[in-house]
Amino acid sequence: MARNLGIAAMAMELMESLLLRKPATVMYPIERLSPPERFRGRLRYDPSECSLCGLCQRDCPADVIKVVRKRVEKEDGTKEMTGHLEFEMDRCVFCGQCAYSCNKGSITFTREFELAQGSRDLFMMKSESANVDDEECDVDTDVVP
Amino acid sequence: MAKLSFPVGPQHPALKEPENLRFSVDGELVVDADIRIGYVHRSIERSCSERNYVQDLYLCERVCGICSNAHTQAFCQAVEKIAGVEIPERAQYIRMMMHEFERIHSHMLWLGVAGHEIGFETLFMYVWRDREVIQDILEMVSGNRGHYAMTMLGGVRYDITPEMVTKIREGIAFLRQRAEHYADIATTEATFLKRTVDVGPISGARCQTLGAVGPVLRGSGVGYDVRRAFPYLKYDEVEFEVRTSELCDVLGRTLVRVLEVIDACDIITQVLDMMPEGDITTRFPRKVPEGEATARVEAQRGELIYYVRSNGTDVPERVKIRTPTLANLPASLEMVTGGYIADIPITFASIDPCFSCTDRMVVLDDVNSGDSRTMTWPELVKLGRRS
Repeated sequence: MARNLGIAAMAMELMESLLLRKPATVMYPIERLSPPERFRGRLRYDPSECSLCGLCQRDCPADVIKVVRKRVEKEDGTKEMTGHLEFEMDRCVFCGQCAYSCNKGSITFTREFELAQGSRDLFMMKSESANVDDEECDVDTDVVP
Repeated sequence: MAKLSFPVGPQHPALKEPENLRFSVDGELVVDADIRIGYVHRSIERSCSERNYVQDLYLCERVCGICSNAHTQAFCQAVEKIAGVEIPERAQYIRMMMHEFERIHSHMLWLGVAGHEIGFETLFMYVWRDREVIQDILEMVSGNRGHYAMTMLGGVRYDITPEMVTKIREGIAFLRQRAEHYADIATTEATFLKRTVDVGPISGARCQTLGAVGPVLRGSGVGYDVRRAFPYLKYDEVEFEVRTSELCDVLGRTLVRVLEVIDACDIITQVLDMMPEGDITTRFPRKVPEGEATARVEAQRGELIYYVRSNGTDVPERVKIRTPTLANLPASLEMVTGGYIADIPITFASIDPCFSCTDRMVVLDDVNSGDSRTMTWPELVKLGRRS
């Protein structure tokens, strides 16, 4: 009798867990789950604040980032450091270390997660130029004279 | 009846990772077993000597997908010891919490796999459904379901917010209740008992002789847990029991893991109560002073050891990793021997093997003659192709 009651209780529990719960899967892509706030999705780079210091390149464990710096002479004779960042995003492991190392907040990770591409070339990103007045860091990066 | 020998793997439908097992059988009984590892060697230790400490953190995290946090914890512990840096108290508690979150997710994953290996698919489905709760918590706290990138040199990357604390408490209460239910199933369900009682037997003394660690050792009645024996982080401040089982079989190992899930829930609750306010990181030098250190942590599969030697630069000179699966392999071969062929999958699964973690290569110098040897690339290729 007690055993039967136990089985009945278990069956009730099962019914509750099976019938009253929502299914875990959703009808993707019609319905999308929202990733959590700290999710590291697509990388976003903002060159306006970037000082081309190269900390992101030095700390990237997957060699995704390449900082290319160039010294150009302005009309008034002063020199300006200009350059850009190149990202090989197919190598990225989304650890977020570049964003963590960046003192200027130039690199952030968005919550966008649909990143598949048809070709490897489409993962190669070259940023807009970033201009800085002086070198702020002594990190070795590729400086094009 | 004549003995028959047959290989399993390196490519085999039953294996999740490539490894080569050789069994000699007499009818249905296994009379001898041998293993050859090395198919997933990734040269991680060597690669660590090519990258700086920050990059190594992520490389070490990728030694194992399941115990990634334990690897970063052990690596950071060793490097912080060399640098003489003590991380803030709050960071220590957060690290501990992550460590226990990972233990819950890993043990629940294992329980599901064990259910699958013995043909108890219902258990597999239920456990993995419940495991999503801890996966959601991990994702909420760290941003990822695996490879959390939470542990940094000098602290942790993310803080725990008050809203998170509420959600963690709710999730942990649910998981504790479910773990109690699974402990009940493991001890009463006839299907489960028939496939686990007296399967893969090994005594505690043999486990110690063969160097077994973690739930395998504790499942044979030996109460050795790094968290108790050599407390790290704040484990000396929380109350928990080192779970052991005298059953010495697959059921014993299962019970130890399920009870450890319950303990992990209790540890997390204590950590949430004790966690002080404050910083989560401290300044860590780029260049680590000369020195060497060993760190050990109780990963989910057992004792994980890291040895790091620094030469004063920002790149380590040597990183040596001893993973628990490597320590448990000799014991697993003894467990299989004498059992039925049908019990091989669950017996091997009972050590929770991870072969990607395990593969290492050692070239020994001859101490007597003083000869040392450097292996060339063609020699390495030849060694890799040897059957």
